[in-house]
Amino acid sequence: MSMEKLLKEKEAYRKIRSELLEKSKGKWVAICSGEVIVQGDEFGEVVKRAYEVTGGEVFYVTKVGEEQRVERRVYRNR
Amino acid sequence: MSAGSTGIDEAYYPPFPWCLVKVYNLPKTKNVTVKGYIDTGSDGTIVTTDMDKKLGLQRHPVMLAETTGIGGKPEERVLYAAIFIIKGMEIVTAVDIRDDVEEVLLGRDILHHLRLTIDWKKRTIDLRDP
Repeated sequence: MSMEKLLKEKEAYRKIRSELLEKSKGKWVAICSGEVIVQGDEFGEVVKRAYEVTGGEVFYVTKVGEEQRVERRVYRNR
Repeated sequence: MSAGSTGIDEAYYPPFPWCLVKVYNLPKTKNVTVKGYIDTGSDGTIVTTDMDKKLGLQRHPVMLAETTGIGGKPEERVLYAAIFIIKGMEIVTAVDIRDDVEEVLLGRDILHHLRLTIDWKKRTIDLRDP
């Protein structure tokens, strides 16, 4: 259920990404119910505020225009 | 950080530096204190399934990421919100919960918030809020 909601919010982000590139490039954004609910410069602050705003609902977080950079993890000790 | 809250684990070769971290779930209703192994070579932080069982981290997925180990195939994985307290600093990050690790590995997503000094000769670790 959480995973489905996350994928749904990611898909919603994809649809509004071009619009966000114009006004929020470089910002961290939290997406819930298809809309940006919080944006800011720090990942942690965005996550905490989004949690408060949604009351614990699942939301998707990414950095506008830098999705590929922030949605990538290389582990060297594994 | 006081003695006893950091160290270098000689059970590993090469030895593996660690520090005690308190980890909370996003609502901050549950926490555990564990050794976090300092993994400057990793982009992200990894936690164990045991920690997830105690904290219920999977209730708060926040990101999807393409993850790879050296020489491994890329894998898309869900990352979950967690709050780390290190040296009184609160750091919110997105962690990978894995069933193939036994340690909490602190990646650069956390370490870049701190001033970290490792003296391998004296076997000491100093972590500070910069």
